[in-house]
Amino acid sequence: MTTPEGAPDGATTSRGTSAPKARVRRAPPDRTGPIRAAGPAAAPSAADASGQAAADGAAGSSINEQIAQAVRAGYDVIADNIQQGRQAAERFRQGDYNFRDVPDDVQSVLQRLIQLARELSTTTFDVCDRLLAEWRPTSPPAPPTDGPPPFRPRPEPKQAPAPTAAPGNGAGPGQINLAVQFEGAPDALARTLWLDRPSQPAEAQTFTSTPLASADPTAPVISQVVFKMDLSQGGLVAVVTVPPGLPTGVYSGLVRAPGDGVPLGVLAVEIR
Amino acid sequence: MARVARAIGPESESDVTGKATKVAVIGGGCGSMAAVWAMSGPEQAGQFEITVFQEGWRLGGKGASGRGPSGRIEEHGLHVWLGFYDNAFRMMRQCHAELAQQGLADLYGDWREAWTPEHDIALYSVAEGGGFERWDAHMPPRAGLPGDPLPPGTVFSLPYYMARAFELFRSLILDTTVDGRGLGPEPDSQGRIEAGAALKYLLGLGSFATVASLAQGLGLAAVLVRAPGVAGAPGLAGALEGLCARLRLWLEDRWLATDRHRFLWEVADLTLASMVGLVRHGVMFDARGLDAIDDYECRDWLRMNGASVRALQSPFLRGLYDLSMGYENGDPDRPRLSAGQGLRGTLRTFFGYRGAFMWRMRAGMGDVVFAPLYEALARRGVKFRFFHRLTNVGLAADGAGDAPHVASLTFDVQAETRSGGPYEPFVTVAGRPCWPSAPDFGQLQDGERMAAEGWDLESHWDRRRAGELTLKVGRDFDLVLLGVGLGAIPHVCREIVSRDIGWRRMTQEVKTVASQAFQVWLDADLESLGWRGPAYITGAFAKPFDTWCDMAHVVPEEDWRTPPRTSVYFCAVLRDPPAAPDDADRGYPKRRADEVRASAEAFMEGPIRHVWPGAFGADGGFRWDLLAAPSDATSDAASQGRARFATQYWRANVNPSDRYVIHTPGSFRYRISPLDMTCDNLTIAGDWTDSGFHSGCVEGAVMSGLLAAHALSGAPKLEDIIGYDHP
Amino acid sequence: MTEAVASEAPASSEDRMLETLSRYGRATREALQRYLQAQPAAPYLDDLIADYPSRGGKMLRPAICIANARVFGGGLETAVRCAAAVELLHNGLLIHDDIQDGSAMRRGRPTLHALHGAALAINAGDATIFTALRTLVDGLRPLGSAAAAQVLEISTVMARETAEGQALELGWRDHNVINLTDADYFRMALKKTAWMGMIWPAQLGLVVGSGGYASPERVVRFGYFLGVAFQIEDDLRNLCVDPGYGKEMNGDLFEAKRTLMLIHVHRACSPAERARLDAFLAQARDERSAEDVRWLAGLMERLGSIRHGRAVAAAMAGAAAHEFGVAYGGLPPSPDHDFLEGLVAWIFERP
Repeated sequence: MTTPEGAPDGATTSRGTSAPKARVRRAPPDRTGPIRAAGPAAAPSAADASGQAAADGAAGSSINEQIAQAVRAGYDVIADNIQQGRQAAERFRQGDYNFRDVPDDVQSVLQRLIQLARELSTTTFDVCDRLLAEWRPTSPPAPPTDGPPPFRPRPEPKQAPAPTAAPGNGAGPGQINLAVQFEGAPDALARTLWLDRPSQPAEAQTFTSTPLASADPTAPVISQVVFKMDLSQGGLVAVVTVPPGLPTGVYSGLVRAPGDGVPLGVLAVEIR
Repeated sequence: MARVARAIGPESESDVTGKATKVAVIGGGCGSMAAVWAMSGPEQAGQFEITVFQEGWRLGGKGASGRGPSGRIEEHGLHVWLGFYDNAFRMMRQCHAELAQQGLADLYGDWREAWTPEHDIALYSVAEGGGFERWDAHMPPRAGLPGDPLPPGTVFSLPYYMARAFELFRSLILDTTVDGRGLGPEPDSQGRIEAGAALKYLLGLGSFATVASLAQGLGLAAVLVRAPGVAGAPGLAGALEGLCARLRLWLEDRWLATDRHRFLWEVADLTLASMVGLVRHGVMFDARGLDAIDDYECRDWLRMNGASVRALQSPFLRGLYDLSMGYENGDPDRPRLSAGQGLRGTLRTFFGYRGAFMWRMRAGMGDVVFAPLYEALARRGVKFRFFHRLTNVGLAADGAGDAPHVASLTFDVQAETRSGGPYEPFVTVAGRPCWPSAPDFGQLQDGERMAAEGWDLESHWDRRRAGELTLKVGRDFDLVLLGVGLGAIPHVCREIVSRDIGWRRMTQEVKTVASQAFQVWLDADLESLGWRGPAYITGAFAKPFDTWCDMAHVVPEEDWRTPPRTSVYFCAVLRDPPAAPDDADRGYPKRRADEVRASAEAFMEGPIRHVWPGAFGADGGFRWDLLAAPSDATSDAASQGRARFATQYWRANVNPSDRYVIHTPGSFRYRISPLDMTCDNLTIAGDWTDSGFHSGCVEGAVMSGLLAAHALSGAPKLEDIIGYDHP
Repeated sequence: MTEAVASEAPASSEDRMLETLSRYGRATREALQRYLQAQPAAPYLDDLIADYPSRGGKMLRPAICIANARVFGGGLETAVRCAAAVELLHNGLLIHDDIQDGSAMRRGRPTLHALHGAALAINAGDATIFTALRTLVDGLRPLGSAAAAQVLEISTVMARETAEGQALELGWRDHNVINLTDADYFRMALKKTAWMGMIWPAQLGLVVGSGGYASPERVVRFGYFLGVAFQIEDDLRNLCVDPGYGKEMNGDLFEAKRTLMLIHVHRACSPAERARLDAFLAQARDERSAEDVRWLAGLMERLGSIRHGRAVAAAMAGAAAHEFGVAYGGLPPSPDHDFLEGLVAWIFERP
């Protein structure tokens, strides 16, 4: 924005204009930097706007609380309407990809896969979003004394990454923590705290255990043991379904990963 | 030659409007042109009378390109537009629409003819055990087109990016291949993937993806859930780290025993480190957004937050540094990129693109961007004065009772036209208007002599000129838009720099690097030389030319008698000498150019072997005969061996104004915004300014230009600059 | 784009508003005529379609459309077809409104269904709406597909909102809904009149003028507050001023139209008064006596409902003025800019 103002240094006149031209200056902008505050952009707060609007509208007369309330209600109505409109538009847009150059069959497959992925990740994020809202930042750690190594200029021997001490169950390198969940036996106790790592990449669901048997050969066995990954419990989790009325004692079985001859360890639980 | 000081008066009495504000725009690069586009638009209703002063014969600045022998395109380097360049694309789409309305659709075409989507990139780098390995990444197309209005309610926020990160992460898992072997079911001969197999693969792979994403999400969630409220905060970071370390142990070595998955882990590792870092540094809630971590160096910061050594050396990260030329003084052993902008750039590049990840131009950037802009602006009434090189921005005397302002602008008039009328800048190649690689001396007074004496009107070290010109405030201009490159500022803004500490610090702390580039034209296409498609651009390659690009699509735009099969462009950073060159050292540019040529020749004989094995003969030497020489007499088409390289094109971009801006840690506070009011009739534009997006790229420059337009005219609104308000 | 302007500057702001309305109204009518006279007149239809547009009308909505288009960089020629579509759609909906309300008069003459019967009038109303769509599509042709898609999207939204608003109002009437708040009224006014009357014409103009580069959401709040204020003022005038055009005075009271004043008086009256009021509301329209209507009008006056209505209308206008600055603040001054800004005062100053 520019505003002509008087120029005391006497700007020269250009031929053809009838009066000396004042020096044009820029008007200072409202702000001089980006709004970087992370999170939803600050929409005009309805309360502020309605207060201002009520002041404008009432034009000199005292701002009646009833009127102010009406204006606030007015702002709420439109905000609600706009939000609904955006949600409807977004739902519509979600399915709208620009796949101009991809062949049709691959398109539809990719679309389904991406949709599936999005559904999974959004749930994770909803959780995170809410939880992060309660997070308070800690002070950042001091920078390390030496910087990262340079980009590899020529082939180097493979560097083994330094293992970091893992707090928790005391599993060392080469081992994984194991948590055990019991179904049907609130007093049961897990006796195994870690297992060896499998020699090949394997998913938790593929781990198996032989039926957990006690020293007493006549006692029934626990045959329902499934494995899963759950980081909220520290990593690998074994879910043991205890049949009702199982005698007390220690039950154990061998845990194996597919393709591994050597068991990863013994899963031992105590029923009390 | 006589020194002639002239006043610019109106062309004729009828040009004196008396009402329009006169704006002098210096420099014709992306920043200036974006500003001029915004200020000359119909909604401004003729409020401004704009004159653009440009040194030399062509617009474009660092984006200028020319046409050489056989109409071949000659660029400063590699120019690729990314899919998040919303402001830049919006401008070009408007420009094309305007030209079409004026009946020039046949000449310039639809904007979709000028830019085509490009989804594939390759990283080809030294492998751990020796040799090279190749990543091909296919970036999935996304909804919309760059330059579309943003869906209402779009908010650039870090949680938004994290959600997008997962989308893309999963797609990358599906699409990326290592050394050509797919990770998922392979398409059949007709390119179809069996849906059942694909879904089954995804579910099987899901555990990997799920684990990695859980590591990010549930790792945080788990710790937060356990700690009772805020009180546990100091312990949470430590516990978080522990969880992630356990996860890394679990996944490394065992899960990643095979190389095929390693690069995925490196990407996941870096993402994990970024997210840990964002949480630990409280960036999510900091009003400064990513500027809160802009004092850290990017790799340092990632390491602090747990990135593994291997991930820090990954070609993925290297590619990012190469693309932004983030090497201080151009020294490849000194990678320096700020963490804040590094993250901001990565987030926008990968998660902010629309349509395609990358868009390649039909021809040189000068032809595709600056020719239509020039045409449309000229028709809008913007005036262009070529061959005007700014030498000084003169401030009003201190203490004159008025606020600090620009009182005079002094130019070298490098040449004048014989006719006295405006210079016609285009040549026609393949039916389209193009900028030539040298001025049309025939239009210039004393043109033959200038040509014979080899005047280089774009060189900082060649100051020959026909005259001088001084413009005065009030009489000749009201407002100034300075769109020169940062490297030129200490030379042309001596007064401002000496008077204002902010400007002084800027010239000291905002760094630039020189760059080098070469182009070859080959009589064989790359497939036959052993490089498998479809990737079009390759990065993280060997030094010194770490980025190269197959430009076969531009050959038809050139004018070869016998067209070569392809053209390939190489570019990289260029190391600075220990001491800055003297202004009087006329031979400096040629020396550096010779250096580039020697590097290029050595490169063709060296690292190229790994990517184009078919380009080497039985004797193991590079087949120089593959190089296609232009069909005219400018070079010896019969030369053999290494000498044949002389028929190709190379350049050292060492002019101060051509230096590429990098973003070193902490430098953000020294950048100056176009909205700054140091002088109340001056604004600046360019990728070196505080445009909000501190990367030496087209979009940063265009955003800067829009800010400059806002500074001078109030429009566009800052909220309408896409991505300006952004963490 | 310049036009020949009158040699003397108009005297007052009211004159300037009238001059703009007249100029844009004329241009819109010319475009309308081209559509209405396109083919040989179909019997029992084309004369009916041409009827309402020929009765004059303030042409406020088309003027809003054209002014927005010009303010965002477009020209008169491109905008006028969209303006014609706006006016046609408005007329088509008026035909249906009159039937639903059972009105006898419109703009000084009998309503269309009074003249030709409901069946033909409904048919004509539908045909008018289709003609409006055709006009809109023609207006979209030079714009390019992105802008055209935007126009279709915002029109779909408007159609949906308008239908919801009409349903709301009819539902309140038919089901004798009485416990309403001011917010309910705003919501109904937003959907029923503001979307079609103020927001959508402005959005059309914005899209056409900017070639699809400005966001239609930008003008929603301004159009909303303007529309609500207009509606309240219309309702006030129905109560207090002879509305001319042969509309019945206090017709809204006979209708038991849920105006802001009715909502207020229902909230503010004593239990005895409320009993009488509820009985009045429960009656069918033709059962209501003129005496009851007079009582109700007096009640509103006494309990301050009229005053409340005026104050809220003023407050909504104030909000509109504020939102004008937000939406149009960055644009350079121009007569069209002034016209849009002047709409806020026009709410109350119009004849």
